[in-house]
Formats: sequence, C-alpha cells, structure tokens
Amino acid sequence: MEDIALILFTAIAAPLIIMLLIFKGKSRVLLLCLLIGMFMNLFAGELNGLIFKNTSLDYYFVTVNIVPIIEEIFKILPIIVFCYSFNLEKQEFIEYALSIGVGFAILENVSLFVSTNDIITFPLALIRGFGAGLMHVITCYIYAIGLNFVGKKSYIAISGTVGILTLSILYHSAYNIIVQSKFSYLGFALPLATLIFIFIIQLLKRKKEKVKHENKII
Amino acid sequence: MDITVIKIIVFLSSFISLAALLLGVFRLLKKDMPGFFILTLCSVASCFLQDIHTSIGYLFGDTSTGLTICTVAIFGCFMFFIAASIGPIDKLQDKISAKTRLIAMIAPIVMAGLLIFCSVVMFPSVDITTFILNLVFYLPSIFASYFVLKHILLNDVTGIYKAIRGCNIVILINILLNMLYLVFSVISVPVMLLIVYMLRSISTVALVIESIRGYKKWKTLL
Repeated sequence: MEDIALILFTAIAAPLIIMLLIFKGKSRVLLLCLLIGMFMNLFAGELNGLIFKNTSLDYYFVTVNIVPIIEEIFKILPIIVFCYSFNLEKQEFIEYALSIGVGFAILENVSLFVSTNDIITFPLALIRGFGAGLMHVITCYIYAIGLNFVGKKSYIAISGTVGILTLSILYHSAYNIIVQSKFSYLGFALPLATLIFIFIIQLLKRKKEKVKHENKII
Repeated sequence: MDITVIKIIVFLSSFISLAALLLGVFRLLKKDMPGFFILTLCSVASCFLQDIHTSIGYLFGDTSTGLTICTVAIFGCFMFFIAASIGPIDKLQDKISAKTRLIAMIAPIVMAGLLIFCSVVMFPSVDITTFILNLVFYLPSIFASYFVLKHILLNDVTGIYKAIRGCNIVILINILLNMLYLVFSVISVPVMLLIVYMLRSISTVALVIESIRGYKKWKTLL
C-alpha cells in the first residue's frame, strides 16, 4: 500500500487548493496556513516513520523523546517565516499561527484514525481529536505569543526562538506520555487545563484594562 | 532509594514550580514589563514544564533517567537566561574594566570545568550521540553564567544593574544547580540529585520573588 498520509493529504488538500483560488484577502492566507500546517505534518510524519523503521529504539521512547522535537520543529518553521518575513499585527499573527496548528492537527488525527480504524471508537476519537487538536493549537499559540515578543528584538531572535521551541517540545512530550498511558482519556485534560488557564489570564487582563479605562474617564 | 520518597519530592518540586509560575504570571505579565523580566519568567516556565513532565512521567509509569527530553528544558532555561542578559541590557555601561571582565570569567570557567569533568566521567559509559547531545544542551550555561556574573559585578549610571542584582544572583545559582544536576546524574548520586532537584524548584520561586522586587526598583528609576 502507498503512503496513507500522502493519500489523505492529497484528498483533503485538493479541494482546499481550489478554495484557495477563490478566496481573497485574509481568508486566503488563513486557508493557506491551514494547508501549510497539513503539509508540515506530512513531512514530520515521514521523518518519524523513517526513525521508527531505521532505529532500534522502542516505540514509547521515540514518541516521548524524539517525535515532539521533530513535530515542533516542523511546526515552528512556517511560523518563523511569517514572523520574520511579514510585518503582521499581533492578532493577525496569532490567527495565522493557530491556523497552521489546526492544519497540522487535522492531518495527524485523520492519519491516526485511518491507520487504527479497527480499534478506534467514537468516544476515543472525540477525546483524541479534541486533545491533539487543542494541544497543537496551544503550542502554536505559545509560538505566536513568544515570537511576537522576541521577533521585535533582533538580538534575542535566536536564543528566544530556541527557548520558546523548547517550551512547546516539553508540553507536547508531556501530552504524549499521558495519551500513551492507561489513562489515555486524560490526555484531553492537559490541553483543556491550559486553555482554561489562558482564558482566565485573558479575562483578568481585560477586566484590568476596563477598570483602568473607567478610572481614566472619571 | 524508596520510590515513594522520590515521587513525593518530584511532586513537591512541581507544586513549588507551579506556585512560582503562577506568581510570576499574575505579577509580572504586564504590558510595559521590561524584556528582562519576561524572559526570566519564561525560564521559570521552562523549569516548571520540566518538573511537570517528570511528575507526569512518574504518575503514568515513565521513570526513565539519563538523557531524556527534560534535558531540553534545561537547555531552554539557559537560552532564556542568555536572551535576558544580552542586547541593550548588556550595553548599559560602556567602559568595563579588564579586572571586572576577568572576575566575570570565573563563572564560565567553573561551568566549563564542571562540563569537562562530566564529559570525562560520562564518555566511557555512554554512546557518542548521548555524549554530544549532553554537551550541546549544557554548553549555553557557560555563556549565560558569564553575562550574569558580569551584570552582578557592574554598576551603571542608571542603577538598572543594581535593581536586577538579586535576580541575577538567583539566576547564577539556578545555572549552577542545573550543572550540579548533570554532575550528580553522571556520577549517579540519587540523594544529591533529588536535593539539587528540590533546590532548583525553590530557586524558581526565589527568582520570581526577586524579579518582582527588581521590577519595583526598576520602575522607580524610570
């Protein structure tokens, strides 16, 4: 059988590429980012496959210690290009980065579900789908926020970017440990907890700004 | 060593790091916050992620030691320390005496010494890939320690170095603890390894507290 990820990628990407020709402006860029994310996943998946085939390392070790590094490097590459090549607004940059993360998660989930279709159940697919999806989105959010900060200062561009990359690698690896344990359904808990944490911070920030604004008016 | 004791220490360290991170996020994440404090907070986040990764590993049955992905966290931590110490903050004082530079070299020499010691002990027992990766991951500590010690020694006109001195001292301790972590893991001393692990988590709290204090002083200078 030919490479299943490549077949799935072609099947999903073909209609999206047609859409790309029709869409204009920001929608087009968002769709392009989605496709880039899927494309990056294709590469990362191929490289992971090569490592599994050509090394004697056990599956658990590779998925916890090597796969996160490869996937995160592939994921950050287009975001770095976006950060340093275009002068984007913060919100715009975040949206594009998240779109790359979503694209990455889509192909990863679809490939996984197709290759494990004999054991996958709907609840498991739901948990895995949301869990991995959310995890990739959160790591891309870390990149977007981090690169938006370090990208403006050329002197910390390299050290800052590498530092941010390590944060995401660790987060990804922690998620991989949980989903491979007996309590794989808890894998959803880690990204969800992070999302709630981000929401709380955003809420508090907005509240603070509102109070500041009201005080200014008074 | 009893696995329960190890687990308790690992979980406790995670809680301490979490407390440090939360304190830092709520007190230091502000719009006008200088980059130094943001990047220091990022290094705390890196330490926290390493601790939480280890805790999750213990919780779900992964007790692998040696060169694991947690080493990447230490590398990230060093990179954030370097990022926090370079750029305009490193150029606050134009003329730095040769004596200061020479004293500042003590820190990287000590770190390099520890790294060479670990390399010599480690080399016969590990494969070449592990050996090189360990060297690469711990190498930034040499550069980070130089900048940090230099900033501890210097006194600029604006008073910024004085404001962040406490912070820099804790950073230097943190770098040293990370290096000791490598030393004890290479020469296999589990008790010392756990003590260093615990101390490093405590140092993250100290780092956040010092950052908050430093920021208060920094604000008065502007």
